[in-house]
Amino acid sequence: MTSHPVYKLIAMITVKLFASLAKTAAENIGGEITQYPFEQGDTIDSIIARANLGHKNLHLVILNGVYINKEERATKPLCDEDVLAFWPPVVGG
Amino acid sequence: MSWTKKVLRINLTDRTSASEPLNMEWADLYLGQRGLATKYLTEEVSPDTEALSPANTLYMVTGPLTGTMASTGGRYSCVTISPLTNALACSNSGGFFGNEMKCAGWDMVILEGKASSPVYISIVDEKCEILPADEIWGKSVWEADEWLHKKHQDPQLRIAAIGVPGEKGNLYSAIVNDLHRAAGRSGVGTVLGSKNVKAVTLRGTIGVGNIKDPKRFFEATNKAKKIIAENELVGGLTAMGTNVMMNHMNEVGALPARNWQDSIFENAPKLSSEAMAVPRKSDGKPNLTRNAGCFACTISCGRISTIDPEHFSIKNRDDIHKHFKGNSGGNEYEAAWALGCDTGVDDLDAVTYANFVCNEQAMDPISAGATIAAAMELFELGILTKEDTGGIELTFGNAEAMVECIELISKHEGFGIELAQSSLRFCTKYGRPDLAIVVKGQEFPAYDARAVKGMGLGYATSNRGACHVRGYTNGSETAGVPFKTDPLATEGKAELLMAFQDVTSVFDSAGICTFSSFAQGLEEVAEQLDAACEGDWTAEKLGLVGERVWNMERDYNNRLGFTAADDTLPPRLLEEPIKAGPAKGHVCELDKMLPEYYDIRGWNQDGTLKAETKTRLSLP
Repeated sequence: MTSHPVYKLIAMITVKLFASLAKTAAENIGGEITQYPFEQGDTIDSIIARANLGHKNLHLVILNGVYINKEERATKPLCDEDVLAFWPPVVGG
Repeated sequence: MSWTKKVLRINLTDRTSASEPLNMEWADLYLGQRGLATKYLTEEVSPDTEALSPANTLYMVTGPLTGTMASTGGRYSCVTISPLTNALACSNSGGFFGNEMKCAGWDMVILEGKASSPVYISIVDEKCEILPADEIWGKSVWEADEWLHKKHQDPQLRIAAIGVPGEKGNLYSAIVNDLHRAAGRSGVGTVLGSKNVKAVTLRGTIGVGNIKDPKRFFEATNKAKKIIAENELVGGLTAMGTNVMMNHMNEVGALPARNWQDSIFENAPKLSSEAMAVPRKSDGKPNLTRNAGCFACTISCGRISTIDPEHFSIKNRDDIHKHFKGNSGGNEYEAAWALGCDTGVDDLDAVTYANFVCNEQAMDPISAGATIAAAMELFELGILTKEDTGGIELTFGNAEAMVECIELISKHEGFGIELAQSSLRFCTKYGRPDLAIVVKGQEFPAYDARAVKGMGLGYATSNRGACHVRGYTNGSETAGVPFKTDPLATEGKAELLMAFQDVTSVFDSAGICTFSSFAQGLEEVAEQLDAACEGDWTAEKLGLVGERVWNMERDYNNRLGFTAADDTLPPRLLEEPIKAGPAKGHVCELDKMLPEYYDIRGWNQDGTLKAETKTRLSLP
């Protein structure tokens, strides 16, 4: 739905899901990316609710490349074109 | 008692071997594996020794927990003077070789001198033979492995070997065991090759039965296993492997690309763990077949993969080993980054193929990929031409060119011979040593130090040259493990790094995997060691061991001629700001971190150890 041209005119938030949060499918190579219309007053938590991700283990949250503490998720205001990336607990080396 | 207390010393020049007791005074101070073998080297190998001369010694060494039921207790290390860096080398590997050495009754195998013709070492419990290897000299690790298994008629034989690059003096040759586990870095395979040793085969039937307090050890290892198994971070490693970091480092703007000209690789998702799980069109199978574990591992982060049968690297080819058309060791994060992002190549199958080649011929994929990446930049600048490359159009992103280079390096032919000398020597030849992204001559791993500054301090001060597994501050800086720090800040990074370096030294000396440190701490390691070994092991004592090992390595490197001037980064990291992403405009301000690091280490500002530091750590 969000690929319709009309969405180019609407303020959007990009949500990226990685690791076990992403559905494994040919269209999701390298992660699952969805866009949601931005609404004034949006926070990370409100996007989580709108994307129906509340039941997922959203351990690591990166907003525009910057780590966000759990405490900030309810209050951190979002802007048009923000990119939110989520991971379950992961680490590597 | 968990040490066997026995060392096998082999003189290749004389073709003799002898058993000797392990120095237990040193075991109490340096624990085992990395720490203990380095102590032996510092006492036995003169600092004026050339890395590829017979006077250099190679120590293949286990830790006190290797071969026991402690989780991840399958580790062993190769310690020597590196031909790549001319500094101390210690390369660690898993698989099943380390535990087999312990089960054969040995803590350590020491290789001295040089054989007059190609040999391999056969160790079956207490029996050691130095046997001709003429029939496998010139063969790959996979071919040698097959030949040795057939010859000895023993499927349980554990084999560590070098490929053609190690025989020919490629400076980043590895020692590969169990087909695709590697003591990968710093050219330890080059040292083995310089001694005319193709392989070491092990068969142990004695077992590891000398646990001090078996009941307490059983309880301590069970407790630690539960902690590791229930840890969510470790669960992520099991499911996704280390390559789960690919998208993460890209999102935080710290994924180096195109020889570190960029810090975001637009096509990184195509190389990621997530991409490895997606079924392909040709045969409906994903790149990733399953995960794999080393001896006694609760984590099992290893990847087993296949290459798309329609891919150009293997289609219609009958000149490649059969493993290329089946399952073999798949991409780890570092290999996928070096062979992919650093060369600008986004072809998952090309990268998987190149990684298979690195396994088959025992080459460090980080140094191999990074050297090709540096050559690509020289080519795009017009400094290197098709005349130099033998006709290869060596542009960033050219998967065919990357594959051709890897093959040439693996066969030590043509342009590959030049690339085998590593990026620093290669770039120096063409007048641009600044384009070699190295510390002490060793190529960088996959974390941009301008965007993750603790890693920059870690690269600069690493005792074996640029390395990510000597002090993984990235865990804290970008992933919040064990607590979150700001990746762009320099404040506090010296202390953070020192803690990581010292703790890692303990894990590397105990015989267990550093990945288990994401879940268990020194308290758990101490409980297991104290139940297994004499010595009254506590977390405090282990902390001191870690610090002692780090300082011993540093002190020996100083004796090898390294100074504070070598604790630096390439100009690109210090002077060229990141172009985009959250770290845009940043360089790595090493000068803000290094003096504090020296200070808390108890070093003089010239990088030497203060006398009181040596006294406090009982260092000679």
